Amino acid sequence: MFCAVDGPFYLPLADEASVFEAAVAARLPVLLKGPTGCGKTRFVEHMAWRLGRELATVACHEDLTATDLVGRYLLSGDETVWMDGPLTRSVRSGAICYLDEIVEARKDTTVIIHSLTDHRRVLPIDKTAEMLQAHDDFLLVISYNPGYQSVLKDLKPSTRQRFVSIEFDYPDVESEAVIVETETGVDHDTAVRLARCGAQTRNLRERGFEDGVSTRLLVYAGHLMMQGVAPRRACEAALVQAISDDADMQTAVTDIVDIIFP
Amino acid sequence: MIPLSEVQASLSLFAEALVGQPVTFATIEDQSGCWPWSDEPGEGGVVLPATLHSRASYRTVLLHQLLKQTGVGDELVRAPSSLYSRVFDLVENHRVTAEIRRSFPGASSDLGQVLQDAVSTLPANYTQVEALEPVDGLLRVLRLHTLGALLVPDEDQLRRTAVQLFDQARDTDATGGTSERIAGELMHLLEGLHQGRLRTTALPDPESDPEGEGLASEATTGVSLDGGTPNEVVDGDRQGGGQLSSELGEYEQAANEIDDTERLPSGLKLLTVKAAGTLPAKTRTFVYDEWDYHSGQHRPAWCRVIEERLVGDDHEFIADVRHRHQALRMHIRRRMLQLPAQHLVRVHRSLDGDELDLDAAIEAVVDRRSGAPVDDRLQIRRDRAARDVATVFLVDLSASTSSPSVPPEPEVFETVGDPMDDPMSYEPIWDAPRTAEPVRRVIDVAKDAVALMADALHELGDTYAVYGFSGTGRDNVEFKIGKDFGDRASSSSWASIAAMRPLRYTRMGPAVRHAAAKLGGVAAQTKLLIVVSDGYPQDTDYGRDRNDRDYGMHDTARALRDATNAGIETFCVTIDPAGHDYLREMCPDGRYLVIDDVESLPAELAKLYLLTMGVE
Repeated sequence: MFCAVDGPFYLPLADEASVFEAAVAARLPVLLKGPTGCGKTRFVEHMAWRLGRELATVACHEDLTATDLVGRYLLSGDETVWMDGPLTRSVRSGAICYLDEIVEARKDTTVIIHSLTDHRRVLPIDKTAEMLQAHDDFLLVISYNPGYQSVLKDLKPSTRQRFVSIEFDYPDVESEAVIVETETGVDHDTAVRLARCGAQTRNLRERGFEDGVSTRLLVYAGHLMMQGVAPRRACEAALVQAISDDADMQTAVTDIVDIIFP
Repeated sequence: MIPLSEVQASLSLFAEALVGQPVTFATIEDQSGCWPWSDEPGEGGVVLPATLHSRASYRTVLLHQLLKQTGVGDELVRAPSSLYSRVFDLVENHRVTAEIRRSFPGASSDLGQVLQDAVSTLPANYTQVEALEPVDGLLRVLRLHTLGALLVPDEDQLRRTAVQLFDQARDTDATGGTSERIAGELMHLLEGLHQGRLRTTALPDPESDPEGEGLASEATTGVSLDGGTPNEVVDGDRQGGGQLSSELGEYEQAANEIDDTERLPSGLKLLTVKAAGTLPAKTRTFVYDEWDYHSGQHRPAWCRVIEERLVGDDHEFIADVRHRHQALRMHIRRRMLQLPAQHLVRVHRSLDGDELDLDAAIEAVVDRRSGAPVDDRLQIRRDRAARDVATVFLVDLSASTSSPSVPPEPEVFETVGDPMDDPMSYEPIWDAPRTAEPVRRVIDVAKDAVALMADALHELGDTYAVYGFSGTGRDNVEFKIGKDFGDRASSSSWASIAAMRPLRYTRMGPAVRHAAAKLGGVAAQTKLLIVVSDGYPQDTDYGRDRNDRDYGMHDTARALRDATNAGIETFCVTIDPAGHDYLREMCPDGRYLVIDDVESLPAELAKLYLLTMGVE
């Protein structure tokens, strides 16, 4: 088990860290696939800390455009001033640029990263007529959740095939318990129970919520418990109400919580 | 008391969460038919009583059954009538009871309550084990020990030994394999007891019972060998010492032949016993006019539409449809991608945006130099115009949809000579094998087609509803809701669509009017109504007589035309080969499709939708 001393805590579940380091050494862009709340963002934060690189994280959304990433002219007095976006800044400085949930962004954003992800490693900025060559240390990391996307938001093969892909999933009960325990400070038994709740409810992924209870939600529940909230109530607030509005589903998940927590 | 139907849907999800696969239940009217009220090993499968005191009781009994090993090991275990299977079942009950207390602390108190309920139903003399035959008494001691209803005195060495052995099933690492081992050792103990090598304090004097009459006598007393209740009817093969000896011998032989490596690993076993459960449903009533083709006028408030939500328990339905139509589903997904792209609208003079609005910037500079207030909205923003389509699938649920989707081939039997001369020549007919696979009906194909489209529209983010219709007479037009606008796509809504079944007649006009009215209440730019049927409109009083086809056809045509005038795109899909004859007149602008092959309905419906939406 690897446990960071000062950096963000991340518990490797397989060889993802070594694959990531190899991709960095070869200057290959990385795609992280996995359900929501399974640790993708934490992994990138951890790896940036481990590699000593600056990290620029962009949480993509449906109104995020290429302009937001690359930069735009702003007015300053009677003049226009060019302002780099987070992607351009990362390309110039050699940081890791992490585009979280890339498929949520508009299509034009995926087009501009194409030239950064092949042998050219350049970022064309049409508004400044510039072809920006990426810094040697620059690394592009994107993430997406295959189960969450609709057909209109799927990642196109032409984009997907430009990346080294690392697949994530929720940890097994033991590992997840370690994560919950470390993140929240709850005792081991409680952490195991939370992890069991997570594992059981994920069996219902096909029943209306594709992702199931995320590790993040389990951590939330643990935090609530540490603040003095009773375990079942904490689970209801952090898990049951968060995953579904379907009454039967909520009752079933409540049942799971009720039999696991005394 | 809570009926199972009230909690079945959520319990089904609870069970699936526990074991990772869909689980359905069989229902028994009397709780005495399942653990812990019964000491009979079940036939396999999850069986729940039709009513219980509380939801927690249901949950506990279900949890117990899901955790229990069933079908482990050799044939003796699988045979429910064998003594070994009963011993094994007792041990398994003990192991699982302990496991629930250990691993599911939240269920522990509920378990205690369930066991207490079970004990309270026992006959008053049930704990008087001394009055029973040795083997019978020992098995009952074990059962009572699990129920927590009997303490074995220290001086009763044999029973203490048996209970200590029995309690090994409560070990933390005990599995189904442990239960097998313990059951085997208990069988040895029982054999020794039977042969008189061992004694309990209540063992009858062998001098007075030289032929094993005690065991044989249970056939007349009706006491079961495994500690069952005295008033139970016992099976013939469980009666008599001879049978016991035979079973013990059989066990010895089988136990020697069992290869440990062939035993099933410990884990949860699943079963799929279908049980139809219906919840009491609320209905709403609506009244609609009907178009009288003969008099050329509307009959005001002529039809009563009774709207009812369907409730189903087939939570495997959508997964099954996705699996069976995997290729088509992928195809639909790909084609959906080609739906007209969401266009972007440029919004000038925005506070934030992708580019500078030059006109606004020049005005701002001028204003500043002239000392006027400056408008700082200087950007051009590009907004996405969302897809705005609402679709209704209206499915014909007439009785004719119960027909096989593929007509069966006529069977041909070879006969030699005149069959009347030899009655035995009929034999091939009587002995003709029955079809093992359930016949797929038209309604099954229609449900698949609609579910596939609904699934695709859900992924696309479109608004949609799935309704079914049928009825008998103008006072009873049945309008069933599988999924309504505003319902989330959930296990319940898919199960509701799965619950669509053939009903009665095809009074299509009022159903179209009601669907159009519901669609009219949805705020969407494009509204689409797709009717899926298998024949022309027909009802007991739909026209001058039951053979009056024109009346229903014209009423439906009128309803479709009214819907079109209200801004709803309508389309009729039928699998009736004669559909061209009436759909040509019934559907505006030829918006209909006749499908020859019923099984192609899912693909054709998808094609139709995409064509309607502009994808060639």
